[in-house]
Amino acid sequence: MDKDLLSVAVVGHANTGKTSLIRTLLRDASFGEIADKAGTTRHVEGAEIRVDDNHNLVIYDTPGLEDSIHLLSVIDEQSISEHDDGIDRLLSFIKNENNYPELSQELKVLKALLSNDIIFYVIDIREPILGKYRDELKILSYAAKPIIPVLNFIEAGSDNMRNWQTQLARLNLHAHVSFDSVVFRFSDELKIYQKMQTLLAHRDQQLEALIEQRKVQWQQREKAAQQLIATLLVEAAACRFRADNNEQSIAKTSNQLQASIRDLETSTLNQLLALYQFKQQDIDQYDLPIQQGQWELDLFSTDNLQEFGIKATSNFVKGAGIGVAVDLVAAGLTLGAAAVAGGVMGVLWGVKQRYYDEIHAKVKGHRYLCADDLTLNILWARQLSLLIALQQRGHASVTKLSLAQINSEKTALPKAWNQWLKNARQHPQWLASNNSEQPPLKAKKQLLIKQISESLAAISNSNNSNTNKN
Amino acid sequence: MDLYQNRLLTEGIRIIEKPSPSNRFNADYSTLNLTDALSKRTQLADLRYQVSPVLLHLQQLLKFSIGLICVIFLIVGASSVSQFLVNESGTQINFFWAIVLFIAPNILSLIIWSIVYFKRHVLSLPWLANLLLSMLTLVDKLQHKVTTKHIHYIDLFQYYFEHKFGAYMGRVQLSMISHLWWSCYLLGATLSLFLVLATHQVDFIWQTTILSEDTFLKLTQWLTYLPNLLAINVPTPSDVSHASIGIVNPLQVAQEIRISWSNLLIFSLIVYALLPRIILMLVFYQGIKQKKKNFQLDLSDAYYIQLKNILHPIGKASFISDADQHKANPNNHQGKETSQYNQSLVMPENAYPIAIELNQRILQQADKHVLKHYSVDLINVLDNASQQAALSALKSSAAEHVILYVDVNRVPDRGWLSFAKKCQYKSNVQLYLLLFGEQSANKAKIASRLEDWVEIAAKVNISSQYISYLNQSVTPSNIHQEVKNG
Repeated sequence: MDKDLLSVAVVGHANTGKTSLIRTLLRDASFGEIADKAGTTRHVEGAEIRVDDNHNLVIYDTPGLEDSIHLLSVIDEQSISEHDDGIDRLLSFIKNENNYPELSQELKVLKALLSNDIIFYVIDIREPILGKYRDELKILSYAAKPIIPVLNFIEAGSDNMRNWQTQLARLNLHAHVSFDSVVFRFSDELKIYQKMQTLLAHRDQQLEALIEQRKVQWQQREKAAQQLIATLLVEAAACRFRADNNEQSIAKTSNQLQASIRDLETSTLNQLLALYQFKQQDIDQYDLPIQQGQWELDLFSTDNLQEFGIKATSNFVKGAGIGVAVDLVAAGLTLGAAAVAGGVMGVLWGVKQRYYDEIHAKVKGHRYLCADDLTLNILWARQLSLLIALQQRGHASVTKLSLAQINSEKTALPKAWNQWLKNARQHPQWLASNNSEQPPLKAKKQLLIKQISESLAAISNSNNSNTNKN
Repeated sequence: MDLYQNRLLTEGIRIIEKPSPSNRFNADYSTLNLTDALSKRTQLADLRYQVSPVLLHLQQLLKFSIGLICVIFLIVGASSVSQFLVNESGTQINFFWAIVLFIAPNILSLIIWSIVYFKRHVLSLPWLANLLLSMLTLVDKLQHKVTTKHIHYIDLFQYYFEHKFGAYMGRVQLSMISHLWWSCYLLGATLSLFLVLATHQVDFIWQTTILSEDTFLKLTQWLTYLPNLLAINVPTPSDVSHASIGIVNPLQVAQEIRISWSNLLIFSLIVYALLPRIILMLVFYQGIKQKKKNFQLDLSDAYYIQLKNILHPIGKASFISDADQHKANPNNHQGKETSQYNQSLVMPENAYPIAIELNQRILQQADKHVLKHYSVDLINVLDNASQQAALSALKSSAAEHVILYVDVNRVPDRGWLSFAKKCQYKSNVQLYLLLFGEQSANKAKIASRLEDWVEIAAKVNISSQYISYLNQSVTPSNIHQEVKNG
C-alpha cells in the first residue's frame, strides 16, 4: 500500500544551512553534501521521515537561490494576463525554461515550490538583511504555499535575530521558528512540526502523530542512554582485581584495572554514539585518568553488617526451605530438626558465598584493587557531559566533541552517590570479567541501575528546565 | 513459529549481538511494521547465528529435567505409602497418622508456597536459581552428547534460564513446577495406596496418648463432610469410637468399616491433597501460557533502540528527484593554486567603483578608499533597484575599468557572478576585485573564502593580478602610495 506523503521543500539562499537542517532532522550525517561555499547542493534531493506505517514526511533539499534579483526580474517580465496570479507567472517561467540556462538551478527550486505541500525557507541569521532575500521571499509567495521561515544558526547570530524577526513580520511571515542545526535543541525541532501543524490544518493528525513519535523516540533514547551510563558506573565500581602485597604486583594489577575501566567506558561511549546515530570520528578519543584505588575488606563496617544481617535472615529462610524439602522426602519424620539445621547451614553458606574471596585474600596476603571515588566521580561527570553534548549536537556539526576539559569538581554528585559506590563495590559479581562466584543478584543490580537512571533523569529534567528558563 | 518463540529467538540474538545490533541483515523493512520487521530480521539473523536449535535444545532440556524429577517424585510418593503405612508384619493402619503424613506436609508446603508467592523477596530467588541451574547443568552434561557446543551456548543458557525463572516468569514457572511435582508425589502415593488396599487387608485404627476421642471425632466429621454430601460410604462417629485399639468387630461389620475407612483415606488424599495441587498446577500452567502470550521485548533497551534505528531509520535513504544536468565546473577544484592575489595592486585610472553587499563598517572603509582614488559616489548594490542604478551609472561613466568592492567574508554566489558579468558592459572593460576583511577574523576561514572569491572571479576574467585583499593591517594609504608610484 502506498504511503500518504506530506512533502516539504527546503529552500533558501546559498549556504544558509538547508542540507544541515535536513541532516539534523533525519539524524543522518551522510545526507547530501555540505561545505562552507555556495552551490554545494546541485540536485533536488529528498529523504523520507517515517511517521508511522502509513504516513511519511518527505523532505526535499534544493539548490540555493543564488540569483534571486535576476530571477525575480525575469519572472516579473513574464507576459501573462491580468487575471493570472503568481503561480501562473512561475508556470510561465518554467514553460520558457530554455530561455534562461543561467537560472537552471533556480528553476529546480521553483518546481519544488510548486510540487510540495509546505516550504521551509532557511535563513542564516548571521547574514544582514539584503534586498535579495526579500526578492527570494517574494518569489516564494508566488507559489501560494505555506511558508515557515527557519532562522538557522541562532547561537552564532543571536544579535541579528530581532532584525530578521521584524523583517519577516513586515512580509507577513509570523510563523517562523528558530533552529540551530549545529547546536541542536529538540524543543526547536518540535516547534517546526508544531508550526507545520498550524499551517496545515488538514494534516493535523498526521503531524500530531509525527510529533508524538519524535517525542517518544527522544525519550526512549534518553532513557536508554541513562541506563547505559548507570550500568557503566555500577560495573566500573564493581570492577576489581586481586594483587599480591608487593609493589610490582600492585603496579601490574593497577594497569589491568585501568585498562578494564577504559574498556568499559569505551564500550559505553560507542553505544551512546550509536544510540544518537553519531560515528566514532565525531568524538576526540580521550583517556580516563584512573587513579589507583584500593578496597579494603571491612567485614564489620555498618554497611557490611547491615547487609550481613539481611543476608543471614534470607539465608535462614533458604535453609529452612532445604529442611522442608528433606522432610518431604522423609515424609515428615524429621520435620523440625531438619528445618533448624537447614537454617544454620543456610546462614553459613551465605557467609561463605559472600565473604569467601575477601577472607581468602586476607589470609593469603592478597588485596583487591578497585577504582577510587575520584576516578568514578570523573567518569560520572564525563558521561553526564557526553550525554548533554550528544543531545545538543546536530548531525550537520563538523567539529569533534571533546571532553578532555571536563572538571569533575564542577559536577554536583547525587546524594546517594556514596551509597551507590559502596553497594556496587560490595558486588564484584556484577561485572562478568571479575569471574566472581558469588550469587549474581541481578535483580539487586537492576534496582541500583534503576535508581541511578532515575537520578540521571532528574538531573536531565533540571537541566532542561534551566535551559527553558534561560 | 509462534510469536513467543519468535520473540525468544530475538532475545537470543540480542544476547549474541549485544551491546549493539549488526546491520548486516539487510531487507526491505520499511514496508513492514516494527513487529514484522523484527520478526523478519530475527529469521535472517538466525540463519547466521543458529540460535533456534540451541533454544530448542534448552526447552527440551528443561522439559526433560522437570519430567525426570516428576518420575522421581512419583516413585517417592508411591514408596512412601509402603514404607510408612504398611509393613509385612503389620495389618493395621493408623488412619490419622496416615492423614498427617500425606496431608500435613502438603498443607505446610502450600503455606510456605503462599508466603513465597504472595510476599516477594521472602525467598531470595538467586539461591533457588543456583540450585536449579546446577541441576540443569548436570542433566545437560549427561544429556548433551554433542562435543562442539554453540559458541554462545553458555550465554544463551543463562539467558534462557533467567527468562524462565527470573523476574518475569519465575514465580509462575516455579509455582507450576512445584505443584506439578507435588501432584506427582501425591499421585504416586494415591496409586500406591490403591494398590496396597487392593492387595492387603488392613484394619484402620487410631491411637493417642494426649488427645481426647472428641478431637478425632471432630476431625473425622470435617473429613467426612464432603464424602457424605456425595453419598460415599465413610465411617460414622460410632465407627471412629470403635476404631481404637482392642475393640473387635464382627466379620461382616469389620469389612464394611474397612471399606468406609479406605474410602475416606483415598477420598481425603485425592480431594484434600491431590486435587488442589492439580488445580493449582493447571492454573499456573495457564499463567505460563498467559505470560508467554504477553511476553514483550523491552524495546526501551539500548540494543533495541539501536535496532529500531536500523530497521526503521528516522530518515529513509535519500533519493535524487531532480538531478543536475550540468557537469561540475572544473574550476571548482582548482584549489590553492587559484587563491593568489596581487598584494601590491595598482589602482587604474578611468575606473568606476561599485560596492556589492557591504555592511556599514566595511562600506565606510571602501568609501574612504574610493575618495582617495576617484571622484565618484560609491553605490552599494543591495537589491534590484540599486543594481540597476549602479549599472546605469557605470554605463554613463564610460569607464574602462570597474572596481568591485566586496566583503571577503561573504559567500560568493551566482548572483554576484551574474552582476559582475553585467558590469562588463563593453568588451574592453576590465574588472578588478577588491576584497575587504578584518584582521581579527578567523584566518583559516578567510583563506578559504579568498579561494572561493579567486575561483569565482576567474569566471569573469578577473585574474589574480586584478585581485587584492585589504584587511585592517593593510591600510588604504599603502595602496594610494602604490597608485602614485604606478
